[in-house]
Amino acid sequence: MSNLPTSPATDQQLVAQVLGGNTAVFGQIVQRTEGLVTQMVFKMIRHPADRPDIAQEVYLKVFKNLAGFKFQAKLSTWVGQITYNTCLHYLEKKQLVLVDLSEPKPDDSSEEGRSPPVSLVAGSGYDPETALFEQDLATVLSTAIEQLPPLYRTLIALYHQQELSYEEIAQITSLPDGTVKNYLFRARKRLKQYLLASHQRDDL
Amino acid sequence: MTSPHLSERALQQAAEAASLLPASNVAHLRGCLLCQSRVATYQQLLTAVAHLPPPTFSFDLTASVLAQLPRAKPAFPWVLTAVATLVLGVVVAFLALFGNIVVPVFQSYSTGLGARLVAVASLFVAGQCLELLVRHRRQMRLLAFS
Repeated sequence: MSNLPTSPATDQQLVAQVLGGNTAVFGQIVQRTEGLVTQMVFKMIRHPADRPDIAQEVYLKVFKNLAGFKFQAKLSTWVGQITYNTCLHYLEKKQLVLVDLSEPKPDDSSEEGRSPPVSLVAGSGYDPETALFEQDLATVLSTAIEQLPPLYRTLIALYHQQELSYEEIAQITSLPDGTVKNYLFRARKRLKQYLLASHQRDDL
Repeated sequence: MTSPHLSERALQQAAEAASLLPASNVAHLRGCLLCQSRVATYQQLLTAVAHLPPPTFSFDLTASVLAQLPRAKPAFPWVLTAVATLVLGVVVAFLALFGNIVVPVFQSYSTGLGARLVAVASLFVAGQCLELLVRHRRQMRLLAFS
């Protein structure tokens, strides 16, 4: 076998080739980061018709600013930052809210020692949480995630679906690590609450 | 069991990694079926989220982006320029060296022959120019609509 497997080009190599005038190589950069960008655009932009334009705008910005990228972060993180800022700009233009600040404070100390709701007490004969997961979760979950504010949806997607670290998410969103953790906690809690509420409504 | 049930935050921590929990919470969790059930709920929830199908666009994003990238400016034809300069240099050098021999030879031909030669050469050059123009227009048409 004369065809030895070639290792994929590094981000640095791809960027150097694009900057050298080989714009076709930019396609590889798009393919490498497309999952992240699509995920973020879908989570932050509620209007489906606007998503394709925003995703393309992101990559045109990436291409335009590629010479200024100095590899202080991963290429995907930098592309994520551009995506986040582009979506944020869109939301600001449309005067949409990124995160609902009217919700309760993240301090859950009051829950410490709180009695569980009657319906959740083990041995009561019926546990809606357990029953809930016997349903088709994918459909229910997607609907529940749609109910979350854009930032929460995005954080859930970045952490649990794209498997980014808190630090990477903090870099992308320019939020402190602690805030990312707090928002993620709230997002998961609200997600569970939506699911439970929806399940209880279905039961009535 | 006297210790309070785990807080929502602790439940989430336990669902992610039990090792993140303080010892007191771990001890409580070991003996509390309700908290174990709540942790399991979070674990199932997070696993289900992680396995949701990723969203995709109904069009080829890569192709669409590539089509919109600004076309690279054609590089300056350095090689062609160098060859042309070299040829011109050789001609100038030839004329400088042998001009006093070559020019009288041409001057000795009759005017009629000279006129015919000039006419043929002119026609040839005009034909070449016309062909170049046609080719250039065809290429521009192709580029504009591709």
